[in-house]
Amino acid sequence: MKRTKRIIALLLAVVLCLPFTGCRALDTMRQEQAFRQEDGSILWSGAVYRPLSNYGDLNFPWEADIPTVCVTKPDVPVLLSNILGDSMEVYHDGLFLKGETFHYDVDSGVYCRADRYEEMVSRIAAGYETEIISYDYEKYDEEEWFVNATYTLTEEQAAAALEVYETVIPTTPQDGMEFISDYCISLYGGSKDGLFSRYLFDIELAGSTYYVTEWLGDDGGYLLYRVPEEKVPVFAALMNPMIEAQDELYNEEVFHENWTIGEGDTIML
Amino acid sequence: MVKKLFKHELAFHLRSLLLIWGVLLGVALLGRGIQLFEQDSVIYNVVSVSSIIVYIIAVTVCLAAPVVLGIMRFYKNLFTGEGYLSFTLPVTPFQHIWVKVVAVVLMEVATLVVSLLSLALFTVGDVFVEILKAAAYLVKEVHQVLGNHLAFYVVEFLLLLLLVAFSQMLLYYTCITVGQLFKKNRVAAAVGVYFGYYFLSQVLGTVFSIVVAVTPEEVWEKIGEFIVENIFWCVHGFFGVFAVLSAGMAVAYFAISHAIIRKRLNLE
Repeated sequence: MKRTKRIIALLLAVVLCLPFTGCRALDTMRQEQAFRQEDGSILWSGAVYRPLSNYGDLNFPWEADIPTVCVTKPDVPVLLSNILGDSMEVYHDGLFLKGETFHYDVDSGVYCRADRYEEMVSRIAAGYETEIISYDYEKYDEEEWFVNATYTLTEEQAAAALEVYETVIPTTPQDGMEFISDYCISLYGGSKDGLFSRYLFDIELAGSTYYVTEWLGDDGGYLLYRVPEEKVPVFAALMNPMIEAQDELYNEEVFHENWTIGEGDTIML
Repeated sequence: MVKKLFKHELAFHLRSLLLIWGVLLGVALLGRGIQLFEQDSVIYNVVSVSSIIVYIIAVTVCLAAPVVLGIMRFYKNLFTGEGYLSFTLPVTPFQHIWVKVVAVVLMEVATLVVSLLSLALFTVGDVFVEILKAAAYLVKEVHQVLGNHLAFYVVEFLLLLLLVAFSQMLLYYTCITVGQLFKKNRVAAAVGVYFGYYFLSQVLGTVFSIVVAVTPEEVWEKIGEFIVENIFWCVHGFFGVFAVLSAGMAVAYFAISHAIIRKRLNLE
């Protein structure tokens, strides 16, 4: 009888201790819950985020696992945050929150952390000078199959790309012909701190000829700037990381038939 | 005498259910205990998920247990050798059926309470508090939409649930009672009666679907408009209709079982 009472007392003691233990999944959900304030700002992880009316060329780099938060009204319990909240992506170590999906009448757009809000508003208004040029590509990964990688052009490569773009007379395409390349990269010019970025132009390799290409939109069409022979080694080195990665990823298959286009030739699309 | 009979019915059920409840609470406690070792490892994930699956199975078995026990008790106590003793008691067939069905429904309610208690035990701590907060929030939100209708909906729903529990148990009793009219394989006959009833209900359902399909669209549009304009009262009506239907079915099943036991009892 005494032993039975001891066992029951021990079990009760264990049960009474259980409420004081936490749950990691719940802690994670709490960390990922943000609250919409009455003044339109968002409160997350102890910091206030204010909406940016204009976010110019702010850079929101694509990643496989972009951290997200769920923005809810202040009284929504954490277990309902995923269902009733609006998902927002977190960029640049929590400097920006960017809207992803919308359930309530939440404004779309970007929110900046209050401690750097004025600084970012000024920088967006002032614009920025391109300090680095880079491009993204996919490379083989044993676990994920492919992952995103970024190649930053050297000063020589960046200068060469810009020089071709600014000095070579482009070829104007006409209706009827098609330009198909074997490899293509999209160059982005950005600030050194990675906060700003905008699309510049593409570089494409068709056969053994390099082109700087620019898509002007449905009304504007396609412009081709053929890279001069003396600059080919620079462009080859520039595109090499992507070419090697793509060849490894897709077993060196060439996807398209390549055409060589001469300088001054008109390309009909 | 009815009180004594009721007491014996409860004692029979509790003999088995107390053990089942104890196992369920133990499984819940064990599952909660496993969460104390929470970590990012494959072993923990496997053990944790397994404990959740075991808990779900335990809850399912626990909720089904009173019904299964009730059916077994009804058959054994009234239609086997035990029936000779049961029907010598100064209790009418009406009271026999009534006591048994009330005892089973009472045990079903008690099992539901124990299951909720086990859920509280399984999530005790932070998670349980958050579950309560989420439930309170949802009730508040629903109340903002439904207003005072919510309280009535809850009462009507619980009443409907109770009537359905009675009706369902009495259906099983009726199947067993009709089954015992057969000279051989009475259990198989009871199962056959149940499937026959199920088949009939499917046929009636199909007939109803045909009637719905051939009814002119304008009629449904008018009905739809009426429902939309009076949605809250229509929900009350829905609960009311189904409560009356369930009560009616329960009375019918009871009457059939009672009539057969009174006039066509055929013990083994």
